[in-house]
Amino acid sequence: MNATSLMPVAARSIAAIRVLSLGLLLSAGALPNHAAETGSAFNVKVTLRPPDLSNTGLCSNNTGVGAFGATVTVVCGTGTVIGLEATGTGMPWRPVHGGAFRFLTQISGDALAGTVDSYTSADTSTAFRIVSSAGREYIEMTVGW
Amino acid sequence: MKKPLSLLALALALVSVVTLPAQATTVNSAFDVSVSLVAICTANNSGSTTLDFGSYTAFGAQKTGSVDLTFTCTRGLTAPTFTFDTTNGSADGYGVLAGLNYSLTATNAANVTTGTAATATSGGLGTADVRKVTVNGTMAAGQAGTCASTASGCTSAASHTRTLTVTY
Repeated sequence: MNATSLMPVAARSIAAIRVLSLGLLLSAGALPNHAAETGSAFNVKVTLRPPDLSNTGLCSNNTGVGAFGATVTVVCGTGTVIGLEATGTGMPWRPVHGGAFRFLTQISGDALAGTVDSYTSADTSTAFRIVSSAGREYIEMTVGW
Repeated sequence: MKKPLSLLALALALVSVVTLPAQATTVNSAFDVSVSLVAICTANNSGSTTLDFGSYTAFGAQKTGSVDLTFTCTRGLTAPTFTFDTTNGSADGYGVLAGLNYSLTATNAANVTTGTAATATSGGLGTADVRKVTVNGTMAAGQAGTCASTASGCTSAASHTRTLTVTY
């Protein structure tokens, strides 16, 4: 018989608790310190303004926005009128504020006679403008797909 | 003739014993002084806490802004790390305001005021470190933004609240 087995049950329990306590203390000492946190609130502010259309050649729409199958008339800074046909989704086209919607374009003005294929841009447009330069007018679109 | 001399010597000895100061003795008792310091930083802002991008013209140029946030901290803390709230954006600082994407970065500037150490004197409490964190924001160019209805609906400023969490 060894010494431990000779100990009464209560004494062995106390010894076990002491060993466990020592182990817990040692393990707690080995734990890394927890980082602390604090917070500070602040405001983020911005004023969004539409671009100045008077001299940029950017276009703006004026009718039919949001209507299903609507034909939207767009007037550009150059004075050229552009017809836009919605694709059936009924989504509005907001050229100034970048609505990214699918639509078809068709140039209706005779003044823009040329080789423009009016059905090649059935994509997503975020910007649209007519540029008049050196006696000719160009249509510029930013298209994503 | 010897007796008077002995009596005199005895009297002098007694007088000298009576006039000597009592001999003081000391004894020491050591004890420990202990404390567990819980380090703290608290927001201590003064002045504006708005990161203002100003006026952003749709499809226009990049805008930037910044705001300084001030914290009062326990002395000697190492450089903290920063995250942003996920309520109005992402933890790494991105957000969208008025349909405009922006990004934030936080920079741990040098201590505005390095605290003074406590001294072992009456009232020698020392002072805290005052730490400044600069939050810089960038709103990329060429964005369309989102207006509530018409363009005039965007004339007023849009704002929301972000929170910078400092881990130290």
